[in-house]
Amino acid sequence: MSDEHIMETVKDGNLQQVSILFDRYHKRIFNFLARMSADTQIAEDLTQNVFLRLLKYRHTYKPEMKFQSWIYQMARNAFADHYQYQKQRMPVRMEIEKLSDRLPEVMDALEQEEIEKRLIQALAKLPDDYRELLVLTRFQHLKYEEVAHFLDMTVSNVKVKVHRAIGQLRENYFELENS
Amino acid sequence: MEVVRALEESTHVHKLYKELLEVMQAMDSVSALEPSGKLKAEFEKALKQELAAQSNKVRPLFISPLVYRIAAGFVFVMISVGIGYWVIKNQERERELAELKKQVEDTRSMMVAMIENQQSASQRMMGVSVAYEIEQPDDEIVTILVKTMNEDANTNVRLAALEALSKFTSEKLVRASLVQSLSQQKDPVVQIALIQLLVKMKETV
Repeated sequence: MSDEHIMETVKDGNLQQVSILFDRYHKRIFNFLARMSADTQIAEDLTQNVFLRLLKYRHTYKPEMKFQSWIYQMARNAFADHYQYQKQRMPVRMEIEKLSDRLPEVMDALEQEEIEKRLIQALAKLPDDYRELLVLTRFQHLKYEEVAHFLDMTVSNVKVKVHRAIGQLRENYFELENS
Repeated sequence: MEVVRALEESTHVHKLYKELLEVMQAMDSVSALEPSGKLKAEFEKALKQELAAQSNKVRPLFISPLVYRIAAGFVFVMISVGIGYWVIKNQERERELAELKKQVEDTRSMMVAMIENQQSASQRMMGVSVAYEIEQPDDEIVTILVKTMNEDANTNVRLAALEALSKFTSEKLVRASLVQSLSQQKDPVVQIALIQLLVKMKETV
């Protein structure tokens, strides 16, 4: 059954069906939020929040909406709400936690851990919009068309920005290597 | 062809190309993170609550017949207008003051509850951010922030608590707590931030 069809049944009151959507999407949403926030505990909280919002605002779901775009939009909102509130109030120094604890066992090679740590730090240094574009297109493997749709941008604009973001990521990455 | 030539001729372009390739490969090699089992368990708990709320939806209580309902509405409006008039005339100032006091008190309780929420790191972070905005903290708030800085399970929350405390270094209790905390901290990230703050404090004395 398609995501859209399941969401329609949830909207009609069959709330139990939301478990299927949770199983299909929670890891992707968690990864998106973990990469955006560089904090897996906060990403778990926010992922939980996304699915609670999904239940709360189920009536606003429209059948013509692609479910994936809708849930990513909610995840973006959850992240923006949390961090805008945070930024307005105090300059929190984001620290990169030890992500290797959460990685599958294949990734335990020290070198790979180093590369990953540096990459995540370089990613954290990017402006929010660049980081978001890279997380969505390179880590989450969403299509440019889809990202353009829910970010309300043209496809060519997305491509240009992704290109610039990679360029800046390269600078950050090698700056960290030399520091 | 021009690209190939540029790569061969310019060491700068060649270096840039190699670095881009390395970053792209690094991005491709990153594997997905696994959320803890807590996430699914918490979600299922929330879903059960939502299902229970759905089946227990209470039908709204209506008074009938219609004439009583209208009469009750009329009486309600009259009482409200009467109370409103009385409040505006006699109690406006006291009410505003009391409301203000209540708001401050509510914000304070909300903040403490958020900081003490062991289930949610984002809630604790938000609670600490509220504390950051306080102009003049009392001992209870300082104690909670110190406890958070020393004991919270999340590094970012501990750092946020330290950040909030750094605003109040003119307070004797805060200064003493920061010094004492140095011997208790086990997290190097917080240790470094704490040392930086203590050095800064010494400079400003």
